[in-house]
Amino acid sequence: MIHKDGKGFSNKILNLDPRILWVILIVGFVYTLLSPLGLPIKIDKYTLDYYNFIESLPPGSIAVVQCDIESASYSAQLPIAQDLFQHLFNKKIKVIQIALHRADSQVNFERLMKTIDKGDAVYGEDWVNIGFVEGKETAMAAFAADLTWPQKDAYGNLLENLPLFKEAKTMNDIDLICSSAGDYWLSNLRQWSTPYGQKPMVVNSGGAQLPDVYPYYPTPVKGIMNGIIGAAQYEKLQQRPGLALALQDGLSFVGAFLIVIIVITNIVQISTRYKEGKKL
Amino acid sequence: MSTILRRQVPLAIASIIILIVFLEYYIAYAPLKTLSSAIQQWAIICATLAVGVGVINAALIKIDKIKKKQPYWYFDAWMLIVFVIFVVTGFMGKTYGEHPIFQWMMQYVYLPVDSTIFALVAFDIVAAFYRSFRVRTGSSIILLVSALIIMLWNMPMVGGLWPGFMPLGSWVLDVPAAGVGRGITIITAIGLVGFSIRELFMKERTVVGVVD
Amino acid sequence: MFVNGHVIGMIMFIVTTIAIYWYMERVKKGAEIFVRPLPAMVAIDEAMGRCAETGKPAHFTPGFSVGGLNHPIMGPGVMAGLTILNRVAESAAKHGVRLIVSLAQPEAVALATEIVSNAYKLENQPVPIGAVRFISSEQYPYTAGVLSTLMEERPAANLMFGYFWSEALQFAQAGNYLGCMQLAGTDSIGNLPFLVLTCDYCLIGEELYAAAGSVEKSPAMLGSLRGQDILRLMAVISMILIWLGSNFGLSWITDLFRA
Repeated sequence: MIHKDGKGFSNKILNLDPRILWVILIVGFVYTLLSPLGLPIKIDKYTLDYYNFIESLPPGSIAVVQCDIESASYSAQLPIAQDLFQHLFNKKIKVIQIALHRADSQVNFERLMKTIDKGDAVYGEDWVNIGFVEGKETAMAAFAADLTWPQKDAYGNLLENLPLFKEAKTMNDIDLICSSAGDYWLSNLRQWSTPYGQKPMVVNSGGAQLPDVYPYYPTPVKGIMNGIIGAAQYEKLQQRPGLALALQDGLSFVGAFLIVIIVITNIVQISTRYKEGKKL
Repeated sequence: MSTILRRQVPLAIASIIILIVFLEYYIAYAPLKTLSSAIQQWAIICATLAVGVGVINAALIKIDKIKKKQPYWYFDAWMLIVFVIFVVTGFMGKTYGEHPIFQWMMQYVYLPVDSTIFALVAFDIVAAFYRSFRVRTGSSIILLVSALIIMLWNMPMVGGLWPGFMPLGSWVLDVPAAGVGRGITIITAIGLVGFSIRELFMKERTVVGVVD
Repeated sequence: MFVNGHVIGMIMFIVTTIAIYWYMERVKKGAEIFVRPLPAMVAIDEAMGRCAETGKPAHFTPGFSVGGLNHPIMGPGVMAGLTILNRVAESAAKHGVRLIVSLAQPEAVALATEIVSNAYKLENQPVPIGAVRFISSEQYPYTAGVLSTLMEERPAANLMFGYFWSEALQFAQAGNYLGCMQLAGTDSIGNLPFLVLTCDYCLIGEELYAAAGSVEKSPAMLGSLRGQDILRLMAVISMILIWLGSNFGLSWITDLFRA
């Protein structure tokens, strides 16, 4: 019998204190960070499509990016957003950035932009940061109908005076929608993509949102960057190793660790129940 | 009279608003769109005002616990002190949150604590997987096998060491997982439509606190 | 006159509304409609019974939504959770159990307070002091607050019905650690597996919206469930038609749905 306080080996394995597992997890992850194993990684088709779609856009195209970076998950969202913005600036694609869901996104966006090499991009002409605008989907719909609806950018400049808004007036003039806002990509789809003829979108998703995004791939979602793993693949495509690539060995360790404990506990459970003459 | 005011009037208001927003979504009529946008803006304003109600509720409960010296009352007292500090420093300066003390507290106190709570999810996942991913029935075998496939697919090194495995993981995501995901999304939306129609007919009385 | 691409949707919505109304009237006149029992809802009494036996409270939370109940995706899930609170409060009052409700939406405080007080007053029970607690409208402070509540109050039952993000797993793990009976339900696809894995019973997707009425079996609820079946049928027919139209070059079908 499997008893919670039993003394046999199988009982010990099946009723292990989770804290032991946590210690192994922390030690292993930190070790792989300090001493990388250099394990190879493969690019999946969702990240490759994401990269290729942006590569296919001619210089001078205009992209709207909703970049709502949550403070709590800043370290997780940073590499993903960095890869996107760096690629857009490298390709000389014009960027309009807006945050629609979190007031602290503006602060986090400023932190992010300090890490981006903008090249010779001129503010107002090649990129604009509108900042945080209250109103959620209502604001999103109004913004799509008139890109100068927020009136001012994050620094107090009137949008209608900025050169970029002379060529980008509504969502119809936009070539790409980039959603780097966690769960809010669905709002972007509803308000920016579908009403304007299924405008192409690329989505930066966290792991838990992936099942939600897949049904919309490959139209209108042209590519998906799946969290830190997607960001690492993107860094490899851009040949720009960064934080995400550095974390890959750690992620591989965590995945392997989880698989090992699941397999071991199941083997022990099945063999114990077999010995007791019980069915699964 | 008070029952009508407390129950029927809010239900009627909700019903009218649902009708307006529904009509605006399907009928292209500019004044309707303006009205619908205004209603949604008012909803945001009402929700913002409600924050005051929430704060008062939280403060009253904490004060009650402090007065009765219930276990861990000192944490509640500390919470109230921190709340006052944040509010006061937040209003210092020309715009809200501009003051260096407030920004320092946000950056070096609030954000690290916020990130820590988020990081705890990793440990909970390990504990949950250890305890719950055990074969008991036929369906749990299917769950286990598909979870192992996806976990292997998600591991960066597997793609590099064994590229032939990637199409299997992609298939699991593209076919069964996407299919089920779409199915759950559609049926959830259908459930939501039913919920909205019950509110439209003023039959969803639980939203005004009616216990039948 | 109609918004482009929304005509078929409007027709489906109107047909569903008429169907729901028709079925409601039929149920009022005595027609019987079978609704399968939802295990999570049936188990609420069992959970409250356990709380009564152990003398411990029960904990309920309808989940988290950004910006309160206004959120288009998260708000309805939380509202559905609050309708289930009706049933939970009723059962808690019947069993004489102290109920604790943790909220992340300030506008839900008044509503939850009304629901809980009505339920206890109907059973002539005193309303528990501090039953309804607003924690925070930010996700991680809310998570920390609920975890703290669970650790301090040590409930015998942990009920989570609503919309959840990553905090679902954290609450469920804390409940597991405390040995709580756990009932949950959410329409959040990404976090549903965690609740299914860790809770005793779980409502999935649409069941969350139908849950409250599946127990009371009012004409409104039963009529609505049957009317939704009509909408389901229309959705399946539409999918088949669009598939035929897209794969066999029948562009008039896809144009019809784009009208």
